[in-house]
Amino acid sequence: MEINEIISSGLLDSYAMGLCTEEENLQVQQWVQKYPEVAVELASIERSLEDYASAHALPASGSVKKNLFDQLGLDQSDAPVAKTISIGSRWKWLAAASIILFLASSVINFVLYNQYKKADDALASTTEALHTSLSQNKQMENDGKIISDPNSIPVSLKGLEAMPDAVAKIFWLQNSGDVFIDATSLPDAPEGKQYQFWAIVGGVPVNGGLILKTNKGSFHLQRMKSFGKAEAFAISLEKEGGSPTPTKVVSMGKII
Amino acid sequence: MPEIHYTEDELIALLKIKDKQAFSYLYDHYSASLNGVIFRMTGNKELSEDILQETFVKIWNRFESYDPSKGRLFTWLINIARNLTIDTLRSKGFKDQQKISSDENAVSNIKDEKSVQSQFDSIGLRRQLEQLNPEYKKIIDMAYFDGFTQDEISKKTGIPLGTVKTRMRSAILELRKKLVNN
Repeated sequence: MEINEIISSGLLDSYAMGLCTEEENLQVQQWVQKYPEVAVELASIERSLEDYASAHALPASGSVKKNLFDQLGLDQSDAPVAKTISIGSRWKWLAAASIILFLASSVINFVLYNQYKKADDALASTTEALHTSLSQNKQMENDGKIISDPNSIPVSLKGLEAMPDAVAKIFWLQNSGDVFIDATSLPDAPEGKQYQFWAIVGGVPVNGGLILKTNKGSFHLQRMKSFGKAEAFAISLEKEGGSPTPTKVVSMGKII
Repeated sequence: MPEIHYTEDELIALLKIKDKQAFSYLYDHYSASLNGVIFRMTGNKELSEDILQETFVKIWNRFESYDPSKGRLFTWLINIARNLTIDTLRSKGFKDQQKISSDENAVSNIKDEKSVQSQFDSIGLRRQLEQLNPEYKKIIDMAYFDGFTQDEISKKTGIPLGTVKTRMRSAILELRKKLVNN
């Protein structure tokens, strides 16, 4: 018999109402053991009928319970005592299994959490590195644009006698007057000193701004003050904060 | 006494070892439902309560024979109650017409009694059941409360057996729907 046929046969309903013959009872019990769907359906029918009965509930007089307990020799007035309830072995196994499962899942959770944490940390540092590298990229892209700009005139500043290795490169944009310096090749300024940039305009050095300390070796352009015209550019070594006039020029280059 | 709640499994486990408190709980939770069914069959309050007491004596003494794999606890309880009632009615020479099943009588009785704590709002539930198709309700009542088999219902009402079966199925389904929505 198909499960649907069993369910629609009406036998489960009769079974739940206690109206089956002994033979039918056995049949239904077999189905219940064999088909979980039938067991579920039967339980559902039983529940419905249970609720139907409770909708028609009729409380009995209080004396019935008293008489009942008297008849069975049970003392109803006993205060509840704490006692050990023996739990069926099936429940013990279930309880033990659930504790083991819980512990196992705790361990797994712990392991997974640690893995997650590691992955998260790795992701964070990767993201940071990516951002750094992106902004470096951006910077280099901008620098590249300046260098390759058709209006860009490169000017090499050479170290003077006092500091022969004070070399730097200027990119001067003719059309806009923007001046950029690659000062990464300059030796480190001595303690308390700072390089200052100058443009020689009409034979007079004009302040072009202080040169910020740069990372050695990593190409980087720094924007200086703009000059519409200039004959040469120079770098002087000044005390920190700069000077209105150059005190010690260390590097110079003429615009060709 | 502190309020204790047992799950059906716990209750069964405790009753198997004849736990008095569990039995008291069982009585508090199921006696009104069982009494309602017995009353529907006997139509007599005193007789119902006698049978109810006898039912619980049987439940206590025979609990080890209850097999949860064969059905829910309440199904077993109500079968004991119903069989005892049928036996009592037969032994006392009751006739079919004395199996009164007057709804109004039952309702007025419920209102008079002070209710034991019930997990159901039985009035709200009853209102739901009033909307049940009367033909369905009649067949459910005849089977569940009066203990008639489908065959007997067919003979008593003149409704063909096939129709009785279909209506009982539909009645159960409609009942389930209403009770779930309640």
